[in-house]
Amino acid sequence: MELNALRILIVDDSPAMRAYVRRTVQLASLPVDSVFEAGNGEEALAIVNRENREPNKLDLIFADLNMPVMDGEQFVQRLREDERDAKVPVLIISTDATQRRVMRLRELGAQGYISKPCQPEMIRLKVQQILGEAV
Amino acid sequence: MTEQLLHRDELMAAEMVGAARDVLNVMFFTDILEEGEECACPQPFPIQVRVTFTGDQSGEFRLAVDDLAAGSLAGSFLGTDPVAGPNEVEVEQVMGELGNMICGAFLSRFEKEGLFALSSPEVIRPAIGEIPGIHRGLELMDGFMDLRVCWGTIPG
Repeated sequence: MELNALRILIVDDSPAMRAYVRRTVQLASLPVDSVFEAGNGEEALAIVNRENREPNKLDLIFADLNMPVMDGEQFVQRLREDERDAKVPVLIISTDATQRRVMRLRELGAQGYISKPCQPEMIRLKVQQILGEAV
Repeated sequence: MTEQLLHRDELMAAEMVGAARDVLNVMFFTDILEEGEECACPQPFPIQVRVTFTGDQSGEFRLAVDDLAAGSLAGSFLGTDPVAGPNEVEVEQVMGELGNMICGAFLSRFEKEGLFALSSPEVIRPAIGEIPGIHRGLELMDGFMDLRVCWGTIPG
């Protein structure tokens, strides 16, 4: 099966965590075309606006919750309001694993949730769940 | 009442150490060798991370660590060249993320039904004063770490 190279956006205010996710994606042997990075939801929306264009749409967004300027919940909400960007899957990676938070994120339209600490294997499995076995 | 408070404190300390162990095992490939109310490390610590939380409960979490542990943990997390090691900025960024993860994991374990917002971690060099509340000192495979959490407003 031919693998589709992914265009990924990583949204986290922690440069260390962005580096961790980037490295994990590489170690998991996921086929990657481009990786974009943003430090908060507002920066992420600007990147989505610029990069999520036919025929080069974004395949997946990894997003943190607690971020300055615009947090992860606000980001998902704003993303889902835009018809063109509403279908880009969002995988939340956060330390906040309380049940109420996870339910709220589901309601907002996040496709997946991983609580930190998380092993690289967990990230790979979630990506496969969301994008299908093609990856 | 006092017994209940003591029980709650012990439970909180156990969850805090449990959260730290999870984070260290899963994302830093290391473990806690010893834990106790006192830390064998000479004080003050060179690096401290402060994270405040608000929501259903509010308070403050602090993590302090020595240089050896900080460098080793940052190297494991980032997968840097073991000879060159991480630079000072990378070490501070990883320690900030470590404080954020342990604080978040602790709150998720201790207040499962709660809803919290965590501040961005503040890295302080060298460590400033201590806060009242629950405290545990940890001996790691490379160095020492100190964890503290205070529920409510920090006095003064």
